[in-house]
Amino acid sequence: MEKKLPYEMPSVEQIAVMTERGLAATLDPTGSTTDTVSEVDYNGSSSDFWN
Amino acid sequence: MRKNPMAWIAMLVCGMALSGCAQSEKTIGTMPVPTLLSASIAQPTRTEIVAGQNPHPIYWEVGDVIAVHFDTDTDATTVHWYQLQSGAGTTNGTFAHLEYGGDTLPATYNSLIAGFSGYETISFNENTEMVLEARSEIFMGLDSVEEFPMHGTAAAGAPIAFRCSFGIAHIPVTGNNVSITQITMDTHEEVPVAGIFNVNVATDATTFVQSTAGSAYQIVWAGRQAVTLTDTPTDFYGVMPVGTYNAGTTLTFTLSNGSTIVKTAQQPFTVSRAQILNLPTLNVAQ
Repeated sequence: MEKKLPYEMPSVEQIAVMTERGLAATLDPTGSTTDTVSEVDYNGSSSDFWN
Repeated sequence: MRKNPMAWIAMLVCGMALSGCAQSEKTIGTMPVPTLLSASIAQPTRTEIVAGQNPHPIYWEVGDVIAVHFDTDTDATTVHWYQLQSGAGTTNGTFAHLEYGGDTLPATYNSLIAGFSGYETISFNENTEMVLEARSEIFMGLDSVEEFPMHGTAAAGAPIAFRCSFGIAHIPVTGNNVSITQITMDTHEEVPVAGIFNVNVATDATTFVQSTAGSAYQIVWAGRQAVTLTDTPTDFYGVMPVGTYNAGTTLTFTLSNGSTIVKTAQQPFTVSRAQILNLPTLNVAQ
């Protein structure tokens, strides 16, 4: 007598499709770029600036 | 029915595992969904300004979270959080939506605005302003600067271009073996440096809104342990809103013995967006 599974298991193909849909729903399709930070020196001496 | 997709996938995998192990193993049953969820949202948020280069690139780091608002969100202040999924250690990242509390995304959008750090981004205002809480902190070493605020925009399908919202004042400090435990910069109620700010994502303009904890006019470095100042400068970096800071801004150094030394700027200085202003070296002498 054929042993019955406790539930109707989806096929591998079905799981693959479901996984793809699930992840696609949570992913932002965009990437991102960032700014840079430059440096500039204060024009003055320590003794003139700090007291 | 709306479900967390990771939970759904985990259920499928568990189901397959159960059926594949025959039905004698009846003790298997707890699904690992809560563990997976907590692991994905409990990461610290930090982004690195890379030292040793000028200009300094900013690299995404593992755990970074950005806040996003879509023009089609029904509420003008809605925040959606996205966490870095790939691109750590580079300037380009891809972020995945975090479904906090069943957060739902609009079906479509024409444009978005975004804020970093996501945890410092309180809300948005229409599609033009990011509302953030500035870290009231001075950092020791450039590579320790955390959550340098950024704002970004993007058209539908385009990458988000992030721009720095604030600037940085670099203060090299020397001393004759003076041991310090805290530095407090105080603008003496002239220029707010801590609290909640609006950032106009189109013009980069920042506007102070209100203070939160502590003074709106102070930023602080409080070391986990005392630091001894020597003839070799120790570099401190204050993340500050863009603006001109008047003469009279003070730095108060708290020494290990509890006493304090106050140094006062005799000249005004201007902090610009996306820029480190290297101030003259400050000597703390007892």
